[in-house]
Amino acid sequence: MSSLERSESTQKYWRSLNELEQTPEFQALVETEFPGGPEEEWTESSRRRFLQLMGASLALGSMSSCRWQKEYITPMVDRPEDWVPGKPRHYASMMQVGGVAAGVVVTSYDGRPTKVEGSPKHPAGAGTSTYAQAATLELCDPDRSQAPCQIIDGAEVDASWEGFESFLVEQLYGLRGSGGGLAVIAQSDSSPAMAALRRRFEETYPEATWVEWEAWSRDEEAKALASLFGGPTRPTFKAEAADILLTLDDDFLELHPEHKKNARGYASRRKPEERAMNRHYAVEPSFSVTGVGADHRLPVRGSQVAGVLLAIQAELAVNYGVGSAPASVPTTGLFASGPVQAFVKAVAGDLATHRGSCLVTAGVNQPAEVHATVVGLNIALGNRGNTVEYHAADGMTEPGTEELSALVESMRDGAVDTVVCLGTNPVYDSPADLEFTSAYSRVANRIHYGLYRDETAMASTWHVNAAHWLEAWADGRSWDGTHTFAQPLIAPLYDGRDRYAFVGGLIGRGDIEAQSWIQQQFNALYGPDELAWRKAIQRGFQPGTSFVKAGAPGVAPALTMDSGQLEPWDESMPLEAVFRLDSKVYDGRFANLGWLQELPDPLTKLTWDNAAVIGVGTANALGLKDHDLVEFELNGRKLELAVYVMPGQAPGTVGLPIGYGRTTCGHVAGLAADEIDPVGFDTYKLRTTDAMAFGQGMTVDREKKGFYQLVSTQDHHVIDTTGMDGRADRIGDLVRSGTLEEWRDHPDFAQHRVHHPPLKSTWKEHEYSDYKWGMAVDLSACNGCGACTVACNAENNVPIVGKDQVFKGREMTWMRMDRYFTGDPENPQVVSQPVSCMHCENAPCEQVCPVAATVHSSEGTNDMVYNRCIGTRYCSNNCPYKVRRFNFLNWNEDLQEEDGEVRKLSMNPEVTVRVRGVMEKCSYCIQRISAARIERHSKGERIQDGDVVSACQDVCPSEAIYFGDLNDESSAVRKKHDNDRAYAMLPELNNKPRTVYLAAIRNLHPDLAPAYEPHGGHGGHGGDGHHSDGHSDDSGKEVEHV
Amino acid sequence: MSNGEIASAELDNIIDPPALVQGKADLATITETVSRVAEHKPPKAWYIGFAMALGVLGMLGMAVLYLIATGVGVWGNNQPVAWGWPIVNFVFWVGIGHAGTLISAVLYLFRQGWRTGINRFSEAMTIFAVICAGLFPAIHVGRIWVIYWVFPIPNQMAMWPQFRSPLLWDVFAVSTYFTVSLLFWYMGLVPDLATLRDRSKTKIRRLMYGIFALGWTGANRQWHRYERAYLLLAALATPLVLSVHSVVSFDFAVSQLPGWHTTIFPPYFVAGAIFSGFAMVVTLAVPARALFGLRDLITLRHLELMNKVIMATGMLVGYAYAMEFFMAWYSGNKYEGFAFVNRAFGPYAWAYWIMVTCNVITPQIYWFKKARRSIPIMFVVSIFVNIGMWFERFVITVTSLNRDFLPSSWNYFSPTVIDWATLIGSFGLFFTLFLLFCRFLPQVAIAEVKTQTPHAHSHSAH
Repeated sequence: MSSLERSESTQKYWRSLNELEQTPEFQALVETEFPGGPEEEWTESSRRRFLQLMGASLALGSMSSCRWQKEYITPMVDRPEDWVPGKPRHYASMMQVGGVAAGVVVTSYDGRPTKVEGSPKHPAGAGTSTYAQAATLELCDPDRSQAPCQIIDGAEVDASWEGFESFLVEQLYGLRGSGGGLAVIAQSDSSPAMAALRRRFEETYPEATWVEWEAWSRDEEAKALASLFGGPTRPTFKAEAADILLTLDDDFLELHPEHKKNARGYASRRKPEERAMNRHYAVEPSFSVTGVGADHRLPVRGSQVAGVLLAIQAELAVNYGVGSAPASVPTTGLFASGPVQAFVKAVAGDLATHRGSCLVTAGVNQPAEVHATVVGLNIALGNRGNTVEYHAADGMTEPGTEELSALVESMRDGAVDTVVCLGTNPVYDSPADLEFTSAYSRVANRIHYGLYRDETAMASTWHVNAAHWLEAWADGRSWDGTHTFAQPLIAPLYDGRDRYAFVGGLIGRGDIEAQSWIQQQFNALYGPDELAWRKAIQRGFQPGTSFVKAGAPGVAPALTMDSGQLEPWDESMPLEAVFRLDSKVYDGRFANLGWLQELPDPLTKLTWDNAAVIGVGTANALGLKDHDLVEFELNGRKLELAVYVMPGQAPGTVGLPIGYGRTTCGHVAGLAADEIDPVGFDTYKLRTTDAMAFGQGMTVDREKKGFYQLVSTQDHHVIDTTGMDGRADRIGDLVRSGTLEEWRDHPDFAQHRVHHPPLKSTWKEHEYSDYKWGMAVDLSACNGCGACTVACNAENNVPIVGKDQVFKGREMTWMRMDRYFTGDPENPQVVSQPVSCMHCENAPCEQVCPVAATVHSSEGTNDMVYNRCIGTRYCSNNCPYKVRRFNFLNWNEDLQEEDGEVRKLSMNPEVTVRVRGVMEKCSYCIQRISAARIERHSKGERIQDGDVVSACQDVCPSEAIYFGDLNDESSAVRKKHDNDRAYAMLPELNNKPRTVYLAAIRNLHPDLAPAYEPHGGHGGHGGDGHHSDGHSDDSGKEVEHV
Repeated sequence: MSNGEIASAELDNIIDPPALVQGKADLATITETVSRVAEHKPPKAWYIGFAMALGVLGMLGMAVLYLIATGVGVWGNNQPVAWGWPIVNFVFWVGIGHAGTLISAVLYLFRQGWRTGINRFSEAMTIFAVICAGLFPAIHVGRIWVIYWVFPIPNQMAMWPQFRSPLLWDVFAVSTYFTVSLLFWYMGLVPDLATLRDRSKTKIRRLMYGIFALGWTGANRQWHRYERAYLLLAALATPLVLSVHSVVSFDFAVSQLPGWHTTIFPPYFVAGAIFSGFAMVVTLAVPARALFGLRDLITLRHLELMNKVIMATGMLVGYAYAMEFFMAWYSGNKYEGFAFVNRAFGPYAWAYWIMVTCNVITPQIYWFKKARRSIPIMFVVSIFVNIGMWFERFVITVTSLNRDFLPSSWNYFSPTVIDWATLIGSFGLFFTLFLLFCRFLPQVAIAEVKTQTPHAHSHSAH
């Protein structure tokens, strides 16, 4: 009723306003028009509605000038070579986050980028981050800033680039030759071309200050290595060569710049039949994706990691003669406890017996001394050149807080009168003790250049809009130094300018244009060679440009440990705040991307929020539970946070993900001006220069300030004992895992976890003589990062539904990541299991649909016929895996409105956008199967293994997902199906799922694991031949494991 | 008359001491008592009731319009509870729609004379309950505008429905049941409509009743045909009483879901349906006989007999509950076992124990004759049974779905305001139709009840 009325009235409304330009009055009108709409539809907390509002409130005004509104369906007179309308083209490009470039390949349909994949040829590794997966959504975000503006008395006043240029002429160009009082706060940038431009800038304004700022930086590592090696140095890992890994508070599988390469190498050693299995020890305060994969995990406070390292160092020196013993070794308190000592002994023993083939890493949060010690340890263990290499990363910087602090000081002193925030958002993310905002307000000219009109933009006097990386030329260096290039996939949607042009403008060089500038720098570096340039662009990188090896390091300074941190936590002690980079919104810059907000956190499974994450024991001691809103205090700064109780969080620590609580971002993440509450809590308010990673002395006021609804896609705390018993009873059957010994004894142990009577089919089963598509997921390799979920969203136009609807249980993700805990709640093991449609051969969903809207194809895929579906939802009831997703409401309503045009750009044209009332689910990326079929069959060939790569498989950094033709005996997926570890979920139902799982294998240290008792033989089989006794060649018993 | 028949008539009298028609029950009085209701202004209570029912019906209309305009998401349904209250309501109403045909057809075939006092009434209730039931599957689909695809209508898509789906069987079962019930009811109405026609004082009444009376004159030949047809329809309707709820139970039993996938469902559902149907007849009959002065025709003995049926079927249902648990345990299937433990002790334990209390424990009071014959007690018990049977469907539908195989997808279901509006609104629809029936049609089968008067018996004993 209301939606009909609304869509009609909205249409009329826009027609009448179309002629209007984006005047302040227009803005005001728009802003006041919507919040008071029909209540059910426009509740303030409905994120989905925000998306619909987005375009309506901001986008349209300036969109009348955009060219995609004019649509001509006419054949091209001069069709560019190779351009077949409707056929996707792929371009190499680059995405830079935190000053490290990643090579990507972007799929483009008729000039619009729809999908970002990792660049398979790039030396830094294939696969992409979740952030890259969401890039197309960011490009088409109607909340992006669409024009320059001036901020006068807190209000945005429309301006133009011309206006900004004349402002520069008036205010800035007079400073040329001196630059006193001018400062730039820039994002970390690895671009050689930008470095050249910065040199020009410094020539133009010799007295100006150029500060780099990143809220999340690897500066402690950089500092340590720089002092050891005498210059900027970066470590790179060869995780595939490491038999033993020790990760010290290091999420090197997810949040490291080279996480894809690390994960790939690491995962290759987690598949026992392929290569000898590694053994992984993790020491960390907060559960990370890396900790999920670890065979042994020791949860300790961030400040105690150094102590564990010291104990290992001492053990190595004393018992194995590796390195020299540290002066002081913690032996009391926590370090006197049995589990810690056993852990230390086991780690030291394993490291010492695997010299040259082990690896020790330390994470961003750890202080420089830990990093220096780790370098020393790796070298003493002979790992350099084998599992780790140090490279001279000339010119690469990792911004710390010192430069920014100094600048803020001079801003406060009134010594600065022009500040340019180059892509940065310090008002939001700078350390709280700098009180940046007040210092900033003392600066006369405050210029912000960025994608969004964010917190800093609104505190500035000028805001100019940036071009998205998909719209611009750029270059940069990947972590290993490879010179990588970005090329625009589309002309800037909102006339944003790339950073080269912007900085060029600052120095009065309006002629600087990114493409030619980068090419000039390319020519300067590699010689003027047009062909080489073109090849580099086509490839996406210039080969042979990685950093050279660094020289021998100096001696690491002695590591010491804070003697106040020896004791295990008890209730009388204060807490330790542990700040964490968020795997979804990064430092907050991706907060407005609904896909990422709705992506469940890999461990907490929280969506649309962050929380104060505390361990089970700590929560019990403090009397806190989930959803409690309580006040935390750190160094005199107070913040109310919702509590989330997380098994495995180290006792006495509070995990604080950053990047939430945005107040001026967009209609998804929070926009105070439109009365849209922020998503989550702004933990930057507690983060100070002396507590950037972890902070001691945190206290909590146990008095509850209220109830805060946290929403997770898997509720596991609010579960009754009945549910817990039921869950405990079945998890071992659903997610099968075993130890390496067990696997050695019985490679097919997983197939014997469930025995059932012989199964008979009700009717004659299909035969699949042609292709037979199937999938296999190796749980041993999967670490649950969730990149597959976002990749699937992007590929299959999966809508987001908002916090309210996730709370109701209506999330739409086709690929979900199930996460279960086992063992001790203080230090549990976590098993992750990606679940999407299994494409059962005897699909229960198909039997019950009254209109045959879900049917079986001759190749065994279970196909949804959207336009036949009437939405009885019976199929979902009958699906034992509950992978079907129903469009309870019109999630894509915003697309139908006029302002939805920009959002349509990000849609994959190969996949139907579903209406309300129909069921949907994983299709095995059937559009990709079709594309491969067309390609091959037009040449008279069959589809080959590797032609069809599903979106989830493509993105998976761990190569845990296999897809292909099961009738092709040589296909990778067939081999996985034949693997002894392979099992089907719920086989007793006789659904015959086409997706099988490979049991997770853990390589436990004998001293740390319960003794393994081999059991002779196994019980009788069901007799249906579901398992052949001949173990395949894949079982690899000859592989020597650790 | 043979001796045997006389003996059996006497035996009847021994078993059924109080007459089924009481008071000054000559044939003219019966006609007058029943027809009077349709011919005179109804009591004030009727107007109040009708206004309320109409108001609630209006709420249903608005809820449905809002639903159609917005989507199924206006309800609390989610993933994994894809079927929520609409299906619960559907099964609930279909169940209620069982008593009418059972009373009319089965008791007719078993020559249970006491049915005559209540059969019209309960048949009408059946029709209206099935109308309410039919509403829900129609509005619960995601795309109501293509709902006709479930019917095997030749179409340009050359697509048939999928005949393996129990939902499709449901479509056939419920529509057949509705058609036969309607015919049966209408058949029985014809002589009484003719009576009303003949008593009509206005043209419009005469015309309307005349049209629907189909020219009934009460001729011997007509009575002969009528009796034959009635017998045939009764024979046709009897298996339907069993089939329709069996087929409804297939919606659940044929699926794989633990808690649904069980062979006990067809008899269990039928017993439950009769149970709830009789309870609803009592709920309606108690006020109606008071309101419209039908105490002599719907006697305490009728009500007591119905209460006996309620107690018997209540115990059948209780047996089924126990047997479900036994089978869940005996099967050794952990998912099935959990489904039932979860019902009784999980997050919806409250619903389960409401169901057990209402359906199994409450009817036990009918072991006492006093309770069986107490109007207040039976009214309360019948309401309890109605509530209990609604919860039975809720327990089956929602608790089975909310925790199925994979713990990762477990979720809690909470109804929304629109869920409530739709459920309550369906009562508005039911009572609107029912009150219209009370107002314009003979609530008691005049012709049939006359066969049960002492007068008729004395005739046969001649």
